[in-house]
Amino acid sequence: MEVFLTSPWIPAEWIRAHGLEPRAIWSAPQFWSRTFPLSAGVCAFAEAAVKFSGVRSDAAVVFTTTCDQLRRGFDASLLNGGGRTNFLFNLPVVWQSPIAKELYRSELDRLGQFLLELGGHPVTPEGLRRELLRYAEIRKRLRAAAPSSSARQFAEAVASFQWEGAFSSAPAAAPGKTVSLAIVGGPFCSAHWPLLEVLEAAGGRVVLNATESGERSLCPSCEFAADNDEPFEVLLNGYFGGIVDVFPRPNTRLYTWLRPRLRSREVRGIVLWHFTGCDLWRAEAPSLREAFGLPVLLLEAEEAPGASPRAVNRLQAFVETLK
Amino acid sequence: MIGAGIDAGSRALKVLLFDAERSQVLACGLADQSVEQERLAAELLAKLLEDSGLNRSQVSAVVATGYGRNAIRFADTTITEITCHARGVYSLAPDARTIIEIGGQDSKVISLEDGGTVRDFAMNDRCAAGTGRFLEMVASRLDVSWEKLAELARQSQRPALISNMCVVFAETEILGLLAEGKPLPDVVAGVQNAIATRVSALAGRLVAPPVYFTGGVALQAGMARALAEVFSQEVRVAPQPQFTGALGAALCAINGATWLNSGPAPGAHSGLS
Amino acid sequence: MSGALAKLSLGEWDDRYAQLKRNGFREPDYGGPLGRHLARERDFRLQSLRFDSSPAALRLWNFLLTENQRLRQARAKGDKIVGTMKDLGTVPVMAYSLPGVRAFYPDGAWWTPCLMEGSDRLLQQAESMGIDASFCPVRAMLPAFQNGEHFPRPDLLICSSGAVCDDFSAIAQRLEHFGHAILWWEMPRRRPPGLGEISCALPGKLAAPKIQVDCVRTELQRLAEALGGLVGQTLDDDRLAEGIHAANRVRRVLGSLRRTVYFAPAAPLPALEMLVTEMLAIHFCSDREETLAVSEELLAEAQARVAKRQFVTTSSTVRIYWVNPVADLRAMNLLEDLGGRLCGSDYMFTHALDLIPEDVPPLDALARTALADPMVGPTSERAARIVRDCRAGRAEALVISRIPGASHCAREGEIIRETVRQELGIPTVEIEVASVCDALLPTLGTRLQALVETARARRKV
Repeated sequence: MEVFLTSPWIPAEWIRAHGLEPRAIWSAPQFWSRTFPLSAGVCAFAEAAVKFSGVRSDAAVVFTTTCDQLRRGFDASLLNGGGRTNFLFNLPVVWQSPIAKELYRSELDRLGQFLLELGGHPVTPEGLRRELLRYAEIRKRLRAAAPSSSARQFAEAVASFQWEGAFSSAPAAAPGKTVSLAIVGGPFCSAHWPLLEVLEAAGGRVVLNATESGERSLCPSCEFAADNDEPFEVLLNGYFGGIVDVFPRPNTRLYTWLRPRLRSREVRGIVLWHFTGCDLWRAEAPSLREAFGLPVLLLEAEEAPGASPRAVNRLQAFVETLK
Repeated sequence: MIGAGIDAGSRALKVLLFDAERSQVLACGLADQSVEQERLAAELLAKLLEDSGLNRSQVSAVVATGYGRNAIRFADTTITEITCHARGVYSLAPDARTIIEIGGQDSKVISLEDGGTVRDFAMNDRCAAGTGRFLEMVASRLDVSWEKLAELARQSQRPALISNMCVVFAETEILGLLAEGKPLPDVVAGVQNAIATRVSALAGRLVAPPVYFTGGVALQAGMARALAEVFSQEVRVAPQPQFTGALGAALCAINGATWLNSGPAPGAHSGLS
Repeated sequence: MSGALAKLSLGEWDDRYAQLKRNGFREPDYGGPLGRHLARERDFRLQSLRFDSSPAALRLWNFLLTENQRLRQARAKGDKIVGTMKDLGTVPVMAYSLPGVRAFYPDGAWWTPCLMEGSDRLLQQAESMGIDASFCPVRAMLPAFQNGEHFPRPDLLICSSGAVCDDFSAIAQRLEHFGHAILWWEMPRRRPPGLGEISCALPGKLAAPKIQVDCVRTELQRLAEALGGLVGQTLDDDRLAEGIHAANRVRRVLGSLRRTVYFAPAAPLPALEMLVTEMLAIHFCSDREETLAVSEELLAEAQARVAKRQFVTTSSTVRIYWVNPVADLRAMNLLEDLGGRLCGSDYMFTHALDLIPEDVPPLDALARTALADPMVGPTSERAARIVRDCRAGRAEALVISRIPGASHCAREGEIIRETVRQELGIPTVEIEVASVCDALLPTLGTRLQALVETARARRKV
């Protein structure tokens, strides 16, 4: 059975160790299959997740509490009868609080119960260890390839990893005089990848994909320091310590993670990618500008994915000003 | 007993006289809206009365509805267009259970009980994307008439997808589509679909058959079809869709529905003038 | 029943005030004519509002409109000022359990642009600080912190995060970027207890698993230590128990007031004054004892009016349940102008109106209260409470007031309306009330009037 995840901070290894198939929901072929009539203020990503959960009642969808849109999207999904196969995972926000890790632990336990009810099997330490090692290895390889890969191929490689836990290589980008850019923000789905090509055609290159479906999602570091480390603790510590996102409070980890990468890759501009209605990402625009002294282009994902003339125009103008 | 209904819409002002004894519409008329709504309404009412061989004293009551209703100070009372369209459509189509009204600047979905009482309603909140204004903008941009738009939409083979929620941005999008070579009929049909899509988002779960479509935009051929597609059910155009609001107002005038109006008389201070 | 009691404009109130003073009217030291707030604070909106004519209402308004002065006086006398954010009702109970501490909600700055009709320019300034109109009016808080022209800079800022609205979370994070240190605490998203989990009863007929109550209790312990550290005292169980007891006194009076007003045959007090009074409950408007006095006086006034059958609306007005507070207070006048009256309300902080349990250890009680926040749990639970309250208040219609830019409003309205439709079958409307809604008054008026008409027509059937 497939278990679709709306966040990279729900451990895919945990799902797999239960014998089920974890999938990043934004990579599902049917995810953007039609534009929805969106009510004012509703996030297209959250709405797509709600609609998807209604269509794919043969699969499970794990929502998270990281934003109003997903929390209430989960509530809306229950109206459509998703009670048995939808789960709301409470991701801790105040990560420096003494209870945060324990909250994460208890949610992993609760998710485990849910997975068993779906037909998964109990986790064995060996099974979990095997998945942790496999995923850690792929993450390491993808992280190493990130700085030099072509943006599109890297996005595809991460998507493949998030879809089926597989590794595919991302060839290095062709050398050339381009403007180095970062794209920072929420899920950047395959339906939006044409925007990467727009940027390249304009003379830019995304050298840092810090979206939910990019390099930032590779942060969890589930490494075994010793052979007898308890796999569940490795999972817990690796993921809890690896949440680099906009929703934690304070969200200093995001900035700590971005800083060296922006510097080492000589990023000249940031594209802040967010869905209409996403307050959390949108509010970071001025803070990103102030923290890094870089121009920030706000790019809103529209109801219909793809490269709309408006988005193309803005990206081209952004690259031109940076050249 | 004769009742007069005035529907002071954002684009057109409609007046209707209804004879309760003979249960029929005596006269109706329409004028483009202007800043001097009250004068316009008074003139149109006077003309209809004259054409019908009546005088003002024979009118038992005047009810004003619509966006500009509070400016019609000579009306005996004001009632909102929700109630009036519901009354008007129901009197013409007693099987109606849902009414979709798309006017010049707003759109409404009205759910009726058996018996025609309004059960619930929804109105668009914030933008023109689900209203006649969008079609007007397109007609103006393409330099075609309102009627021509409908004709173009009929010719569409593959309606374009208009994704923008904002009419201003949608205009840019439309120009972009035309520049890319998208056939004009497909663009126009796309606009009709976009309006229908916005209305369906507004409607939520309010829609139950039979569904009637009224308001000025119902006169545009193709819009009912577009609504039927998004709602996946038949959508019938109400008879005389431009006048159902005025008809409902006239019926309220006859039924002495002043109890419906709890606010101050038109023009008095209520924060609404 | 005689005709409705007239409300007064600002000018009329100042005339009445002069008359009251001539007749020996006594009032607290923050009292005075309402017009002085217009002159001194430039609260221009007061000129458009219409007020209840009772001395109790005058006291209420003066109390509300002097809060910033009160905070400054407290600072001058050496009290510590704590800005409590987002939990809307729990942390101030803790803060007021300590001597020499005043708590207030900087979130409340959202009313400032309304009261000053935008002349404060807080919303424009928020935009220049990077938080534009796509966020809710709470963004006014940001420049208010920076310019210091409204409330004094707090000695400690506490903010709950987690299952709280995104706007606020984003704005508070931006505030921290400006150098205002924030003590964050985790609010888990409340859920019903699962199979095998120990269930804890919460106020408001809710339940949560013990693990969540324990989590919040641990967080509140951390806050108690921080608050105590501020004044060099220990915020122990005895102090907390006293603070809870005192808070419950206020909550009891508010509860009686709500029942007296909402269940009366017509409204003895206007919707506007009821909204303001309920808002006081969250943090006692920076003076817990005075909040009690103000509420008791209003209750006495309401009870006297009911006994004398003196009301501000007629018995034919439509009973309306109102969901969410309004940025522009004028909307509450408009409701009554158009034939509606309040028969119940949920201004997003019903947990601040429920009694805090006194039969469990204090921190546990506060944790349960915090978790009972209607915004922290499933929307269906909020909707269920609204349905119960609508039944109790015999609501004929429901208004959901969307807060412009507020992320939670996008979805919850749909869920609440659908639930109310299915359970009660009464008409509902969603309206959006901007901070200064003058241009929108015709649109708002049409919606409210249509709702009143619809409800009245249903009476005839």
